[in-house]
Amino acid sequence: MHGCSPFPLLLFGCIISKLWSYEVKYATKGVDHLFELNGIPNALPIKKGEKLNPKEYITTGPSAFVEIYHHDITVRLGKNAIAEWVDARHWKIHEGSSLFCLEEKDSIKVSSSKGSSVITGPCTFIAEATSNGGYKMICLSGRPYVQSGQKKSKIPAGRLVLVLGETNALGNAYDIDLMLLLKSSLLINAFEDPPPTMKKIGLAVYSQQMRMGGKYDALIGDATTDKNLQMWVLGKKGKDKQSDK
Amino acid sequence: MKKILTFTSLLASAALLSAQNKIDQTTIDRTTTTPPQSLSSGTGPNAGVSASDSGAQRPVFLNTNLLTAFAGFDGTITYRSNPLTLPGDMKQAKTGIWQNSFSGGASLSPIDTDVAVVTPFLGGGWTMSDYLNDNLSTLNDYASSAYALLMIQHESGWGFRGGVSYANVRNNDTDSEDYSEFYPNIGAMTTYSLNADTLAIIDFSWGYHLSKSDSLLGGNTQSLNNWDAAFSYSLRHTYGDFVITPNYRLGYKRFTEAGTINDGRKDVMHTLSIRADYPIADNLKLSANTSYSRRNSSGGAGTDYKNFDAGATISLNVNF
Repeated sequence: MHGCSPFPLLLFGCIISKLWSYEVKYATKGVDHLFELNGIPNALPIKKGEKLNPKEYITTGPSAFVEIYHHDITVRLGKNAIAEWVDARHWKIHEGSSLFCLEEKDSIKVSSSKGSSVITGPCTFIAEATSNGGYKMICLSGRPYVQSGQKKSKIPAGRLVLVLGETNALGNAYDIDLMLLLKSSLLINAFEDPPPTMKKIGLAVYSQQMRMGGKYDALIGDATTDKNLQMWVLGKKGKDKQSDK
Repeated sequence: MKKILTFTSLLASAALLSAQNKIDQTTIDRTTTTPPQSLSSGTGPNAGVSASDSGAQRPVFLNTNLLTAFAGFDGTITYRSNPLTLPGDMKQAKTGIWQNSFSGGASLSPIDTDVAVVTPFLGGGWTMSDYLNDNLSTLNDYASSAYALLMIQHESGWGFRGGVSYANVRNNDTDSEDYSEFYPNIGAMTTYSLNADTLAIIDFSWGYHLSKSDSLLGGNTQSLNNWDAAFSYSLRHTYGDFVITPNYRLGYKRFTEAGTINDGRKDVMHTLSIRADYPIADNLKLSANTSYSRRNSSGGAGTDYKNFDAGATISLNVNF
């Protein structure tokens, strides 16, 4: 490096950093990003229009939501979430729920405290952390490939697949009512604008409605272990039952 | 006495229809019954259902068969003020009409593309009409229909359709064919939410009626051939368990057969209607319907007329 100015490398690094930075499109109060400054942890509120850099944690409070985007990738975090932006194509969801929109053909790695998978779009999906250290991946549009460990599957819109925590593999998959999910999802409804892939999601809802055979009187809950998935059986008012599957 | 007057009036007016009591088949809307055609957003701040961040995850099972069949029955009682579409007074030969309809069909498995979902449909139906006014009992008929339809739901929210339908009307008394037609047609429909409870529906259609009718009307069995185009605007409002749907429809017809009594005829039809649906059970629905229609006709044997309908329908629809 003798006789070679470090400036071009710094400039290159800065440009790369900006190229991969996410911009905050929407943020309520209670959204912070955590970072280390001189070895000391710091927390600063996130504001609309702000640029975020890799290696940062983003946290949301009890009624806080945030949407950030980078080119064709949009990420939304729901309340009480802790997410870590590991690098340009890798997000780690420690707690809570998040929505990912991949508008073009692209891959993104989503991991939780124990599980991880690589999702190749274009697609829209929700990742919801579960108690077993894995997460639920719910595909809302597209037909992405999901790879976890050695297992690779093509997941159609309307399907929920468990990314297991203990074995880092794909678990059981369930078709779920997309219309009900959309109507009740704050990751869809709690923001100023619909997600950028809303038209594709609408088409997936239509396609599922055309294929609908019937609905089970149950709701899927948390995956407490790799072998236990909570299932809430819908009954009469005040008589809902919980079961483990 | 009233009956005699009505009958006299009927006879006098009927003279305007070439001395023949006939239903004007071109006034009948032969809409095919198919499942929902267009997208609604299903979102919004008031979208209902207690919310979580991800949303409620209810397991479902999907049809994996190549064909999904559906069938239905409608029983309808209607008051019609001007069943013969006679010019002048809106109340002429008023009658009740009892109709029983059976319909059935199947959709092939939807084909998903990047920007659209394509679904082919095949279907048919049979309707028996019974006029409760004794003077019109000779008009009792039964109609059969069939259709093949391709529906394309685009991601823009527009649903497009194209297909061909066939209809055949036979008189009960004489068991003779009064009317038949092939109707190649295309259409487009879109919906948008006005608020959490109200959906607006816009529909355009265009087609050609290739008809065969009684030769007494001018000596040409194809005198009712016509192009038609229609626009309709509906508001589908949910009020508790009721679904209330006001609708306005504007239709235009241009008759095409030169040298017949309908040479140069053009009809403009306005229809204002409102329907209320109430679900009695999962597959059973009770509906009340009322409509006012008015036709302005120019050229040929077309006549201006006004009509008022009010009725109730019980519908049973099942999917297999």
